Formats: sequence, structure tokens, C-alpha cells
Amino acid sequence: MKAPSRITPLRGRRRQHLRLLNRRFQERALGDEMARVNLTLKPAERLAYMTSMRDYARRKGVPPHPGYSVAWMLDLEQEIARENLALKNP
Amino acid sequence: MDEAELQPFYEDLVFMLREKGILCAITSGLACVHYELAQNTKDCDLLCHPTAFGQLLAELGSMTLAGQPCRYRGHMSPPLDQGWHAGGWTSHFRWGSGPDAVTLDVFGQALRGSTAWPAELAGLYINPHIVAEMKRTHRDKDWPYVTLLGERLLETGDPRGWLHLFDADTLRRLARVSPIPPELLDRRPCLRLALDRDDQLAPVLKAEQILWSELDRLRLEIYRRSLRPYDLAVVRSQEPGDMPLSEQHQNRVRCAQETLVRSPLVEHGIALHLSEAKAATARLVHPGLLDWLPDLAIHHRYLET
Repeated sequence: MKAPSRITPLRGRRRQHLRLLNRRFQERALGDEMARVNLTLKPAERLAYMTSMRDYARRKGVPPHPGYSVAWMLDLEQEIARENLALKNP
Repeated sequence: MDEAELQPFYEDLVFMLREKGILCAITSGLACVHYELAQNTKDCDLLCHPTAFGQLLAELGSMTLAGQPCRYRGHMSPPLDQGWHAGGWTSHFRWGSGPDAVTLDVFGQALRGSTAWPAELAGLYINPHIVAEMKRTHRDKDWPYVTLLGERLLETGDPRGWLHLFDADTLRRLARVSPIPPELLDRRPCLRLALDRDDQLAPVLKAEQILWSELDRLRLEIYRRSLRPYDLAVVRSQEPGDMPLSEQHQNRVRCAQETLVRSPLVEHGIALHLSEAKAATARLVHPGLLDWLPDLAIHHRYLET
């Protein structure tokens, strides 16, 4: 289904209703803290918050997670490296 | 590079590439951030039209970052070549190494995209509709963002947002006050359950999510099997650490020509793939829910072009 040729953004009560549902869903699915980050912070503040969370995690020794598109490839690469090592040192 | 500088860096990169006539757009996690949905992501997924791959490769080859040249990431990255991207492969680049490396993941095709992505640009980013389709993965953490992107689409007046709502409460409450276009009811049968206030809605939505997850899990198994001989071939080719990107690319193309199936999913059979995902779903959900699942063939047409 292609993008509509003309779109009319929601306004008034319908928009308020959608925003209320959005807030409730964010609180349920992401938790109160992330809902607050998404719904009340400005983009620069949100970026700073996420950066500080990543820095904190790194200081605590949490390894970085590779992205979806590359994670499985890196897993395979490590698997092959382990196999090669085992062949060299049986 | 400071993490706060990453998003502006990627935006500047896309801006520069567009000025040189390269059709590209940012998708996935960074697009979510752009759409005001915080995500813990350092990677940039870039959609680039395959006809511009040569230009993109030349630009990346001439770009350094803090003195570091751009290189293919690891042994496993398939070449940035239309022949393999048409089959759903992706290419991966990095500047620097280790945890501080800056990375770029390039997609020629929007995986699971039901429409041609070049028609779905939104500034430097791709439309939330395509982002939401690409986010239908086997990872649980992606799914809240699918619904949130759907809500965003509806707020901007794009009815395709109905295709992305996976939360029963939101869907039921919205359906009470907003009309659902009839063509979407055919495309996604469970929307009728929302209109009818049927209690099956929540389990059917869960079943739909499981179907997408199984589809992605099985897809990755197929691609993983195909990538293994290529990965071994690249390891054996012993690319020097300081090999320029253009030469590295030629080596990758050579290895791919010898070992990498161009379109593993087409070779496996898309219809077979869909039926296997449905069978895997059937093992996890009540049989009565299967009748409400959508036909996902439209999300694989990108592999047939």
C-alpha cells in the first residue's frame, strides 16, 4: 500500500486521544522512565540522557550490543574463528 | 567520536551523499530517535539505492574519520554490490576498530518493505511506515517501537499506521473513535476483531508477532548457512590490514562470486519459507488463531524485482 497522496494530520480531540493512548502504551511497554524521556525531554536532552546511560553501562562493564543487521554475522564470524582455533590446537 | 556527535555525523553524511546525487536515507534505530523514540543505538542503518553503490563506495573510500579510513567490517560483510543486495544481503563498514569504531550498515533493499522505499523519504530519514516494517524482527525489544511508529503514522494522517499497531488495548480504543479504511481490513484481518470488540484480538496480535518473529528467525538461519563459505573465503584471502576500501571491495566481490549465493531466500523458495514460518507459529499458538494471520507474501516482493 503506497503512501497516501494527501494526508491530514489529526487535530483536536482525536489527536489528544491518540496522545493519551500513546502515553499509556509507552508506560506499559517501555516503563515510566523511558516514557518520561520520550514524552517530556527535548531531542538534545533525550540524546544526552541516552549517552549518559550508555556511558554508565560501559563503566559497569556491560558489553555493547551490535545492531540487528550485523549481530548475527558477528556471531558467525566468532563461531568460525573458534572452529579454526580448535583445528589448530586440537 | 563522542556519542552525542554520532547522529549529526550520520545526518551530515546523508546530506553530503544526497548533494552528490546518491539516493539514500537513514532507517532503523536512528530513525526511531529522529521520530522522538529514544533507542540505545550507536549503529547507523542506511538505505541506499543500488544504482548508486559505486558512487557510495567511492565516497566512503575517500572519507577518513579522525585519520581512520573506511573499511569493510570484519570478514563477514558481503560486498556493496547490486547483485547480492537484490537478494537481501547487507554491507557493513567501519572507521577505526574496537568499541570506539564508527560503523555504517548499508541496505539496498528495505527488508520486509511492502512498498518501494525511494518513494517513502521523509527528509534525511525514511518514512515511519518502512521503519516499522523493518523493525518486525525476532527481537522482542523491537516490537514496542513498531506500535509506536504506527501511532505516529496515524497522528500524521497516514492510515497505514493501522498495520503497525500490535497492542490490543490501543487498537481497540482507537477503533472505537477512528474509521479503519476497508482495504486495510483485507490486508490485516485482525483489524476486524478490533472493530467487533472481539476478545480474540490480544491473542491474535500475539500470534501475528510470533509469525513475524519466526519468519525472521528462519530467514536468518537461511542467510547464515549461505554466509559461512563466503566468510571462510574472505579469511583465506588474507586481506592486508591496510588494504584500501576499493581493493578490499574487489576482493569481496571475487570471494562472493565464488562462494556467496546471491539470493538465498529466493533459492530456498519464498512460498516454502512462508509456510515454514506459519508451521513454526502453529506449534506455538492455538490453531484457531491462525485464520486471522495476514498474508506476508507482499513483504517479500522486493526480492523479486
